[in-house]
Amino acid sequence: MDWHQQYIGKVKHAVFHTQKTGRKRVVVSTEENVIASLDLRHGEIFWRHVLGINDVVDGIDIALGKYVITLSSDGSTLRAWNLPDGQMVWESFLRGSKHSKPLLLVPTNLKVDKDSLILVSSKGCLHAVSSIDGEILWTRDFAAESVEVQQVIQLDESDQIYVVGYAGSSQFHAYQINAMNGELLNHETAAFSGGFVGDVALVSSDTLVTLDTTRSILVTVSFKNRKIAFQETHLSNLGEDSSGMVEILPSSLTGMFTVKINNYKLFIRLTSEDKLEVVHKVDHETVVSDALVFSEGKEAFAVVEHGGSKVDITVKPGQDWNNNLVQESIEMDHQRGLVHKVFINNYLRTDRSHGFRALIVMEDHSLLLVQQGKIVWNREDALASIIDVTTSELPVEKEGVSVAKVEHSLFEWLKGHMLKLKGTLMLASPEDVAAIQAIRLKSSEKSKMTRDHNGFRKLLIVLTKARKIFALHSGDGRVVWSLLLHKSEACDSPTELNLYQWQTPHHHAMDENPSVLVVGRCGVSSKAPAILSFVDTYTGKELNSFDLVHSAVQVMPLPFTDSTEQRLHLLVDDDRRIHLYPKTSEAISIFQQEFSNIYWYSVEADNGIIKGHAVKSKCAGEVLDDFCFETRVLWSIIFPMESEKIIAAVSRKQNEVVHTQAKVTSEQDVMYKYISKNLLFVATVAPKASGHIGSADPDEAWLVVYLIDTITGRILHRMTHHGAQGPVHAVLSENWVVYHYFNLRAHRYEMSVTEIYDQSRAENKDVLKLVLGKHNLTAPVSSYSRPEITTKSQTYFFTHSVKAVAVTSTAKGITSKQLLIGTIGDQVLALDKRFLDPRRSINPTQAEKEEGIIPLADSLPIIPQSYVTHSLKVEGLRGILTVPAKLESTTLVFAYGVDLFYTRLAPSRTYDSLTEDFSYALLLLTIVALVAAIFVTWVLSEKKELREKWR
Amino acid sequence: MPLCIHHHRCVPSSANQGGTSDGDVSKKSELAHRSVLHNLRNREQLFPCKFHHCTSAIELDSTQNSVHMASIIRSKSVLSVFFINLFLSLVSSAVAVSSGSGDGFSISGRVKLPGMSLKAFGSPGGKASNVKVVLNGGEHVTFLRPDGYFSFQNMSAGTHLIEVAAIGYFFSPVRVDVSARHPGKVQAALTETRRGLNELVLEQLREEQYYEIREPFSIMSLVKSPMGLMMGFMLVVVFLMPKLMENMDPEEMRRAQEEMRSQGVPSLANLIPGAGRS
Repeated sequence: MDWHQQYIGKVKHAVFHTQKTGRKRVVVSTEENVIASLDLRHGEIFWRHVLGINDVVDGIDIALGKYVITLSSDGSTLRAWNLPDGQMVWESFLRGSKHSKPLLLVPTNLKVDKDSLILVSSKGCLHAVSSIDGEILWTRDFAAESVEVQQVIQLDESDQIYVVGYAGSSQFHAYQINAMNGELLNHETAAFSGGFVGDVALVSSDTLVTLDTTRSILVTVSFKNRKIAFQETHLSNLGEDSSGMVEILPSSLTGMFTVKINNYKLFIRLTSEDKLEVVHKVDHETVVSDALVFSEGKEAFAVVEHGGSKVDITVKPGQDWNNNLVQESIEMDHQRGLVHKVFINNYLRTDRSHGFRALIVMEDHSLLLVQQGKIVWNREDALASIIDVTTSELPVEKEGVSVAKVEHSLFEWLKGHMLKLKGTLMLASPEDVAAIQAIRLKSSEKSKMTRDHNGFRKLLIVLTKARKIFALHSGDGRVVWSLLLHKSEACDSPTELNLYQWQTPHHHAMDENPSVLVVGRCGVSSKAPAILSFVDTYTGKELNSFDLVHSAVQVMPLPFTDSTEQRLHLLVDDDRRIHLYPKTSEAISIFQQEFSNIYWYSVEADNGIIKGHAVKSKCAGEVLDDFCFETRVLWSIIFPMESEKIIAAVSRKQNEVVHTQAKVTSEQDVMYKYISKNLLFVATVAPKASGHIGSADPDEAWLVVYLIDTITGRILHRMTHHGAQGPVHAVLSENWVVYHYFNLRAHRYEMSVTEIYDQSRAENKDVLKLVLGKHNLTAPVSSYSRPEITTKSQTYFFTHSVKAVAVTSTAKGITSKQLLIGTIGDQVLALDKRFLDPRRSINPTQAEKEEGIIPLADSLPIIPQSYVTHSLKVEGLRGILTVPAKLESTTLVFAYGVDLFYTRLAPSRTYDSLTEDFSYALLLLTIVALVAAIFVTWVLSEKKELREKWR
Repeated sequence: MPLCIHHHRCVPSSANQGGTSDGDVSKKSELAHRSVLHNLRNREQLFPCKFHHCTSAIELDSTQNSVHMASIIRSKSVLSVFFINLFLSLVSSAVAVSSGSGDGFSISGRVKLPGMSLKAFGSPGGKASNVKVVLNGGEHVTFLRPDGYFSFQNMSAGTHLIEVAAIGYFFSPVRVDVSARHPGKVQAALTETRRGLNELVLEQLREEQYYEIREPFSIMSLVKSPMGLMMGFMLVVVFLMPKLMENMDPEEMRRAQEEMRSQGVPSLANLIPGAGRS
């Protein structure tokens, strides 16, 4: 019923641990700030830690053969983790005044007794840290001499290290330091008139190569024998045109380095006469691994090139380009895109020769282990970085098809049944058991690829940061299809933003497949031109994609569809024009009918302005565009910048269903809910208190919440919480809003609920008026009207920090609601809305108790059994999605972060279906027993009657 | 006052000042951090512990603490029932020595999990590896060492919130006040119970059971179910009723039967087909 999947994200660093005879593993750090130890045989996670959001990993390594060392938080946190179980062993904080490139170096032979040194260069200082307990043994401050450290180099087989760096852009410094005690042995400096820029590439332990400020000259710096010598080589002298963007790529190859020029890469070698020569030229898609030292100081590195649908992996020995140790070609799924990173590791074959395995990170963030020309395992780690989720229905089951498909041949069918028979007679071997399991899974009700009667089976369409779209089956969470979005030539670095349901066919367009719209933009800024892609959700094919000329600041699905059930969408660009999609004449005629009824709002959080907009006229540009419209500002709310800063704006879900408009209280009174789709909840805080907790005094912090009607711009409700601050997480549903914030005075989190009731309809309960026809029940409900409203609020303490809040949604809105709260512990808590009811009082009357009102308490209860994730964690939780099933009692919940979790919830229990543990056997048994009893009694009574007659 | 040899390692000076004893300092040299304790009784009868920014924590025998620790008792206007005993405990660093960076204060503490003390130092599979300590709702996240210690560095003065996320246990968030005026003064209190902490040792308030315990199969549960009740009633009617009828006085029974017949109430026998023939 529920499933949980664990991911790690796109791998940045990888360190192999295969020396020992034990379990072979690879330790990785990822862009989701995850450190994980993976099984090298199957790719499973041994252990994993998700660091904080700001705790970006800068480097990892293994020390003493048993500790994983990680450097994170811009080089300020150094941690050691126990390799077998992932327990943190020690943690050290490194200080420094200035930002500098964080470098982690774990020399292999710097040993003192059983300890070994870890060298960390960060924040302008070089620290030597003991790897046993994380104690800082010595520190050298280079920032005081305004030297920015570029490299820390260990001289082979000695306890001396070189530290090289620049002061300013032209002064080169080389320090020779005794690693054992930090003693400065030698300091050389020399100025280079051309200046330095960019990364450095180390070619040997005393030579490095960098670029001058014009980016056209390669500078070879050698600092051997206490002398610094510069040597300049023009790129043009190497026969290369250096007009484009030149970059030195960081690498660790001996005697060789890589330069990227425009869209190709050069391998340049340093010859024995200190001359540079081009060894090879490849296109920019080629990836090179770091050098790997194996048996007696031999070096090897891997080069990965693309050739059509294949990927060629070549392992080359150290400095010899023309020789190949291994050459393999593997078939690569087109949907994985390009190779982004490669890490290699060696192993001993049975014939004592060296074999190599490669860990490859692809463009779609997946991780593959390649060995002997085969992909041993792969992980779809794009799923750790979900941006947006939507759902799609599965195809309707066609009669006759499924039977033929499942039992496609009599032999297969017989074999299957034989297996099952074996299984029941306990004769099955382990392979047979596995085969039975597979058959069961395939034919099991929950993982079928067709729509079910209860609406439990759905496709979850997820969009990830890797620009890859996945369709997950809600039954077991498997990937049904995946699609890497097409990259056009015009756009170099597209980013994806949102998913919208473009076409959800029902009724008259049943033959069409449903599709989703993916909105992205070309670049990071909000003014970048937008990209639209349309993806079929059954087949996973990209139907169409457009590079637009205008940007998309806001995308609005309209409540209208055309004859093929395509939903009309409005895109607002940064000039406040709106563009209508799809661009068909039918769409424009539908739009024209509703022209005057279209309103929307925009929130400018930086300026503290909320504006309401309406459509004005067609665009009056040079190019006639029928689908472009000018807009006008209807209203605007300007918050005073010096006292209020917008931190949250939440509106109702557009597809939410409300079952009843009135609420009957225990006093036979009727309260009418104010239900408007145009409500907006806005929270502002004092600018001083907009930072994290602890940065402001209670006296200078306040939180103001507003409820705004987005058609008229009317503020329906305003409330100030003194001494409170954000972050605010809110959810708006039906006629209520619940929000979570921090109370600085009590120093606890609080949750408040506000319910809105329509006062203008409250008089309708007068029977006399109803009889006389003086009621306003038949009056049309209009968004322009200004109804009298009343609000009721109540506030409670809540223990935990919150990462996300959602509310359950059901098909008809009859079932009572639960709030789904993603807590700081990455769990999802289901909290009954009844606990957040402003009508709660300390001593509810008997009538109120019957109505279901809970006595008031100062804090919301946290009942462990109501965690929907039970004892699982959704690491790095970011969002919770709820989708109604067809069955009114049930809602589908999907929580995502680094992990994925899916479950079915029934907030008021499954009142419309039998539970899964319902005992059908007992029912049958009872019926049989009853029938038997009837006959027994009949016979008995016959006999008795006969006896009576004889008497 | 402690002396700093290296700016990361603290060593206590020869004698304790301020007249109070240190209590029982359990100095565990095998631990990564050297525990140093130094109590000073200042004017406000609070006990600041001074450290230079090194990862340090104190372990005090709590009974001894209560002997020589004075408490501030404030009554809160809102809930006068609760008294807040704000003991002072731990930690913090003075800005001193070192590289002149703007390093702030540090908070160190310890999380106690049941069963953790039984495990030897560094034993594999300790629960501590799955525990996170979160500062200010996610600003910083740190993990526990094998012995349960944690620390946050570079903190600003002010009031902070520490939460412990451990599956299976419910921890109250802890309010920690770092004073800027009196460097090195830290106060801590549980926000759930409003109990002050005299040292930053966090213990779970309760264990959490995420699964409802499935009731074991029993005859009683079968009997109690609606179908069981139906069957039970059936059995009573079939087997006990005739017995009861037998025990009745035959004359009385005849009278009762006649009464029933006269009222026209169909007897059970009439309902069963074929039985009515008599």
